[in-house]
Amino acid sequence: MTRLCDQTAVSNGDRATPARLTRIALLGNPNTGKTTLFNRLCGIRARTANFPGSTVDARVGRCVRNGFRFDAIDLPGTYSLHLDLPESRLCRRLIEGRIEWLAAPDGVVVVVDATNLFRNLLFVAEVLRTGRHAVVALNMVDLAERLGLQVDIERLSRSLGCPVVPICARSGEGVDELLEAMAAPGGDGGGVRYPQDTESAVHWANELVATCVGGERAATDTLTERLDAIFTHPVAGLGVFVATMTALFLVIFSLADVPMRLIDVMFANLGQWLGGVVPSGALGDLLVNGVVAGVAGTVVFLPQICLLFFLISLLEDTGYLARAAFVMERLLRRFGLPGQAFVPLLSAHACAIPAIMSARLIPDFRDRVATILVAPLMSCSARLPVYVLLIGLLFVDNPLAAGLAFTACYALGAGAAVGTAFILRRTILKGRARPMVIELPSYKRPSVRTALLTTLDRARLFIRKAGTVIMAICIILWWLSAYPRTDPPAEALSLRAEARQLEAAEPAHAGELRLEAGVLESRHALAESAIGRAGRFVEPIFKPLGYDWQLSIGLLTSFAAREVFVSTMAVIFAAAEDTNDPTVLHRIRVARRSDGGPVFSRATAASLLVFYVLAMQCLPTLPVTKRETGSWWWAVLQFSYMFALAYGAAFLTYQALRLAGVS
Amino acid sequence: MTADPAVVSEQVACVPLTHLAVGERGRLWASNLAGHERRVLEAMGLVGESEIRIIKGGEPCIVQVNSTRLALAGTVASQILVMPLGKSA
Ligand SMILES: Nc1nc2c(ncn2[C@@H]2O[C@H](COP(=O)(O)OP(=O)(O)OP(=O)(O)O)[C@@H](O)[C@H]2O)c(=O)[nH]1
Ligand SMILES: [Mg+2]
Repeated sequence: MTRLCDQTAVSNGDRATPARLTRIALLGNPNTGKTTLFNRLCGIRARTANFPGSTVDARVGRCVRNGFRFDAIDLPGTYSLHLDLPESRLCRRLIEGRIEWLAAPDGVVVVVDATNLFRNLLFVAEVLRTGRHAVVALNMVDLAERLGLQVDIERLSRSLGCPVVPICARSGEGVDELLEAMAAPGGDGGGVRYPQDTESAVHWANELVATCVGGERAATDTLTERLDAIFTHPVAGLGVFVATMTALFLVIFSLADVPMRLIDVMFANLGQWLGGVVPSGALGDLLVNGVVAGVAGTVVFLPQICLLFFLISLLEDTGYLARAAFVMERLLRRFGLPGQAFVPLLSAHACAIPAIMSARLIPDFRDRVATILVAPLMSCSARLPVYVLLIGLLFVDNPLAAGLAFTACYALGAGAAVGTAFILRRTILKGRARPMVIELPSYKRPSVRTALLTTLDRARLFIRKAGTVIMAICIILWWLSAYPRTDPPAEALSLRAEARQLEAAEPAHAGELRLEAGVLESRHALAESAIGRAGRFVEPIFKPLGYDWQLSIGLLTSFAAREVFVSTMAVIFAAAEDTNDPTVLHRIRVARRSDGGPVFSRATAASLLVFYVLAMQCLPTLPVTKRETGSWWWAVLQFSYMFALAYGAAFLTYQALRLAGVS
Repeated sequence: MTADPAVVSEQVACVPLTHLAVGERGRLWASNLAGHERRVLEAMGLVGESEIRIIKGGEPCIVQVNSTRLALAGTVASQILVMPLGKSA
């Protein structure tokens, strides 16, 4: 009997009844909450943000909930299925089943913003016209309610000829009902005829809004108007943006300081305890000076990473970024970047890889390539540790200057990015940026839950990296820095002999001599080790920048990933025994060169800081650049350009500071 | 969205969107934008005879159409013709 019904439904026309749903696609206009719903359904945490275009690629997740089991496909938002834009093409091809790696969905959830029904209905019409089994999820009903909008669900559903389920993707309200509606056999559309062209669609949507939406919508939203007036003001808006970013970086720098020290002390204690229980020798040395010191060199920066992601997530959720993009458009365009480049460039402060991917929403190829090439100049979270370490060295007792220097690093990166774009647009990527058309989303109260979950995810990722990749590098480094073993230098031997003679008469002095001998021995051992030789081999390249062979080692290893720098330094200097303070940060600060001078003189630290702001030391970015631009040539250009820029700028910084008498 | 030749006389009253002052409204009349850009704007809600309100003048400008707020570069806004409707209440 059911079978018969099914067949009737099929033969009757538009809509087939899926026997068992297996793949459901989430479609809709940008910023309607598709990814928020997707995360709800599948229990994952794909990136959501309150601006159009936060998702750029299809993503499949498995939903198991209330006896339902299916694959959900999250898609980038699009204003229409028929535009000549990547996100539109992707959605179109998916519905038509023309994507090789993704079978066609057997059901569609059209996620609709209840506060903007008219525009969303134009899209609904396009989807329903395809005849897919579809359910409309009327999202953000919480916001609609607050605006005083009342949607007659029953009536809307009848007029659309498909189920309409009010939901709040953020809180999860209505999601179960949505699934029920999805699973129920689709009707025949109730004989509803969908508009076939734009003009009739507009008429149809207007009619629907007029008949189905009641309640008095405030003619103007005064709060939004007021905020927009400030945030988009050419002068005040710029001020707000600069103040916001400065505050963001200052907060990260200052708030993270105490937890950072705590972690440092914790690891130091762990190292000492381990040193006590593990018999001394190669194994103990490896554990204490390789593993613990190395991992500590990365993990101490966990507080900064957490704060950065937490604050950026909150900021993204407010809707402010689109306004900032508006204000910055004029400036960006002067440098040859489109207004749409703003959000990718801002999100590059977390990580360049998703930023490069989100540049997909920039329609013009040259605009896009320019954005991709300069994105890694923005200071990503992996640079944070190096900034914190070096600025801590440079401004020891001046927290305000340190905070400002921290912000200045971000400003230098951003400045270099727009400057580079300017040059690119006048040379190899000649042309002007495509004029901007973007939607300004409504302001929303940021979701602290989302921000906390995002932070937790990033923290987990960071710790996992510290415990795997970075630990592995540290073990290898330790090994390379401990072998081949060499005989102690003659100077150390004579010191020890002297100490032996003085033992009885002057035990205190003998102890000092022995300590001095120990320093000489460990320094000699490092210099003669495999990594020490490598460092000395490349030292001439970096000498003009003020780096000795030990820093050169750090530079070499951080070409794989910049976070490794501090860990490398921690491993290299862990063996140095001229300090009583076992915390890694302190050890690195007081490290000495072979000639006894400090490794990090002020000029060296400043030059190194500039180098890290500008250099491309992140191998995983290169294949992403290649994929998004379609050619290795751009990736190679990006890498070599940034290296040359970093080298040149660091050279100038070092030499200028030396000339100015700063040592 | 192109102008109907029969009502050309009315076109005299049409002005580019950029000519409206803040708070003024206009009814969308025609657009001189190329096909692709026009279709994008249509899909974003600038369709039919929508009423457009200027939230922020100048270049770029911000306009409101129904419940959608759009930021438009000057070069785009100047290609959109509207019939002025006066200040909103
Ligand atoms: N108040 C409220 N906010 C919501 C709801 N659903 C989503 N949001 C917020 O709306 C914004 C956009 O959500 P996303 O899930 O990123 O939207 P999307 O449709 O995936 O956007 P694109 O990927 O850009 O197309 C985020 O700031 C969400 O927190 C809801 O039901 N209520
Ligand atoms: Mg999304």
